[in-house]
Amino acid sequence: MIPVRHYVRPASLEAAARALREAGGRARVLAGGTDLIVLMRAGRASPGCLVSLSGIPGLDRIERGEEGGLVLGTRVTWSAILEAAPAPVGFPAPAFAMLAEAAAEVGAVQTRNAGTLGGNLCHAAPSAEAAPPLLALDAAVEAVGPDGRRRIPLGAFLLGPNRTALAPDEVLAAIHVPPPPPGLAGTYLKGALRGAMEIAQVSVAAAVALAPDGRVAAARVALGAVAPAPFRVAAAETALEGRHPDAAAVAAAAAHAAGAARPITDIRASAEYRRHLVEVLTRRALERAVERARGGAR
Amino acid sequence: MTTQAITFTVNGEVRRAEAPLGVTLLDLLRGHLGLTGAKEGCGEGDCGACSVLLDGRPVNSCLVLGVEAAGRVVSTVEGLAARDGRLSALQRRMIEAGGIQCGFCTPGILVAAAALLASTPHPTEAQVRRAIAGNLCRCTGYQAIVAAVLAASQEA
Repeated sequence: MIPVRHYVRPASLEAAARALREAGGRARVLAGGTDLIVLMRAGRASPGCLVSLSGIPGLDRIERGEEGGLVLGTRVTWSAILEAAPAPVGFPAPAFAMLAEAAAEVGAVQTRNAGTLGGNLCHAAPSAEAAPPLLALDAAVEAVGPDGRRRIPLGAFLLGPNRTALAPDEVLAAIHVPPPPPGLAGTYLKGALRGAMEIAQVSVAAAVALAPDGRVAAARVALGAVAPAPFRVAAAETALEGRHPDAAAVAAAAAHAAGAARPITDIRASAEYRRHLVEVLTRRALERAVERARGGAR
Repeated sequence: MTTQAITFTVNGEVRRAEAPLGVTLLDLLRGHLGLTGAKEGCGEGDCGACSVLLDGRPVNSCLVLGVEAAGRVVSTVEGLAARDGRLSALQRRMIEAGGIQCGFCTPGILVAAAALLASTPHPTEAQVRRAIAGNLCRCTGYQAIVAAVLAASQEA
């Protein structure tokens, strides 16, 4: 038996926000439950009220956004991402690949069927699988509160372990992904001890778009599990932009990524190993991204 | 204790239950409906022993609130065999291959594998292993289980 004192199942996001306000900061939003119910069973979370999103229609939508971007409802599951791949509603496949590859790395099929993108971002684990690819895609989240809606760039939303910019009476409604730069191709790599059921030691999302002359027109590098919150590595990106993505340029970018990482030592890996892994995985991810941007097989 | 009346479909039948707010779908099935096939192993979504199909997809029922199952379609291992008790090809092959030892993981493995075969009738070995990656078995070493799922897929 899980200690649930109150449970509400509102029919709209606005009603959900009102329920959160009425609970005065002691409520939690329930989406797939793969994080929150685990915490509650372990006694590590004991919200006075659960506000379920399961009665709100449309939160599992994957829609075309403004100017060819993508709108992902907060209750889109990992399995839905995998089923929408490679190119949901016309969003370019080489850019979407980052998110699809991250979805494939989440837990097991049971977790992917229940767990949601919105829940993953709001739980805000440093290793959150959704964060690096969505950061690399310049995503923003849409929050609904009792007083209205606002958009928050993902980089400003993720504040630290289990901490986000959401107010206690706001609900994450959707994730907005703008249209990527033409030709942007990326990949997601995860460092882990096993091939499944793993939490990342390090995760990297990397993408490049190439100009007609072969130089890097745009570069994106985002890291997870090596800082309190996942983040973009601007220095790695500027090290590539305007240059030919040769071995030296890629190595320089990977070195910037390793330098920007602030890893900790825990049960999954030492800080030293994580830093090494950031350099190796960033290099591999960029090499694969370049290959894909050139139209290579992988 | 606060309860909520819910109606949902379980193994093809419409069922009603008075669900205490904090009861999990697993405990609702086991304790209220007498469907004790799904087991509680870890209680935190790691072992898969509690796997059931929710709207056709495997989930860990220990992490689903019973009240969240309202209006949805649940299938458990009890629903795999025909109404006259005849086992499915998957169940038969599990027995023949020796994919069962202590049996605790078996109901979860069966529903996860059944969901795989429903969406992918002829999976590769890698697809089978990936589909049951969230179902821990501490007895068999998985070889016989994977062989059973592949053998069942040959009958499709």
